Amino acid sequence: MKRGQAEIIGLVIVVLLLVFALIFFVKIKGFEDDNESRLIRSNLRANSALNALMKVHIENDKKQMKDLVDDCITASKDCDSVERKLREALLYAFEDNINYNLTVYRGDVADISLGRTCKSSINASPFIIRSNGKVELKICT
Amino acid sequence: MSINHRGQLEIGITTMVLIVFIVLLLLSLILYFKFTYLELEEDRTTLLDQKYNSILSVIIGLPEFRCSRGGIESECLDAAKLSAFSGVYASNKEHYGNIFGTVNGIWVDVPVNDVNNLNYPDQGRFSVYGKADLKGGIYSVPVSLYYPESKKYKIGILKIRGEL
Repeated sequence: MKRGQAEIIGLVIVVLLLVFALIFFVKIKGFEDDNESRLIRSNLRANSALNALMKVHIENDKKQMKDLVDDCITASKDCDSVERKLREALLYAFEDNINYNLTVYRGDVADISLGRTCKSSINASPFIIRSNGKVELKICT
Repeated sequence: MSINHRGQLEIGITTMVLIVFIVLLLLSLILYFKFTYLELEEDRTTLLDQKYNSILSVIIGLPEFRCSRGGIESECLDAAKLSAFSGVYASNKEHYGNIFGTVNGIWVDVPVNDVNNLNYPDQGRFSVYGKADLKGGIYSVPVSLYYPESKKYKIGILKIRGEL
């Protein structure tokens, strides 16, 4: 190999390394900032959405969602119907591009789980149901 | 090979090396500025998002909209107050202009059977400020809406039309 060719290869390697280092730096920095800002935004959305979901009146305005969830937890009554109504309400509350996971717990056991499993998420404060149950809403980030 | 020819070859090699180096430098500069531009765009989006989300948060907390029972405030918006807000706004334009700032429109959408119904309590949209159909992005948050007459709750979507 001639000296000139060796110089070219050396330079190419150095410049390529610099470019890759730059891309890596920009990607990592952008990811950190994005995560932080999403956290602030999703907290408001998650808490407000869970509160609205649990308070809404359904079944011809006779009962609130939290009462139906309570019936499901205490007497295993109409759990399928509760699941369907929760799904409908979630579809209305969130835009298509937002992924979420809503879980209804009976004690520590997950009774109903809707949406996707999130790798990382923002959690709303759990909504406590009278009868040893709780509802958790996670918004995927 | 004569000294003259060897010199020309060396100059040729050096020129080639310089050209390759400059091309790579230009490529990396283009890449750098492209990333910087993208980052600036993302920062702008994030800042706008934070700005409008803090306005959403302020609106949810305003006593003009917040519902209360027996003087105790609850985490919801009062539909009756929302419906009557146009009158309050008309007599306090400057005050609410300062609070809502550069927002183009604020409204709350509610699921109803007849979307064209404009009469409370069956109306599908409560207009709070500005217009909903102007240009810009929509920033929204689900809220609990309370109807004091019937003592019922519905899910509403509080929306802001702002810069995109």
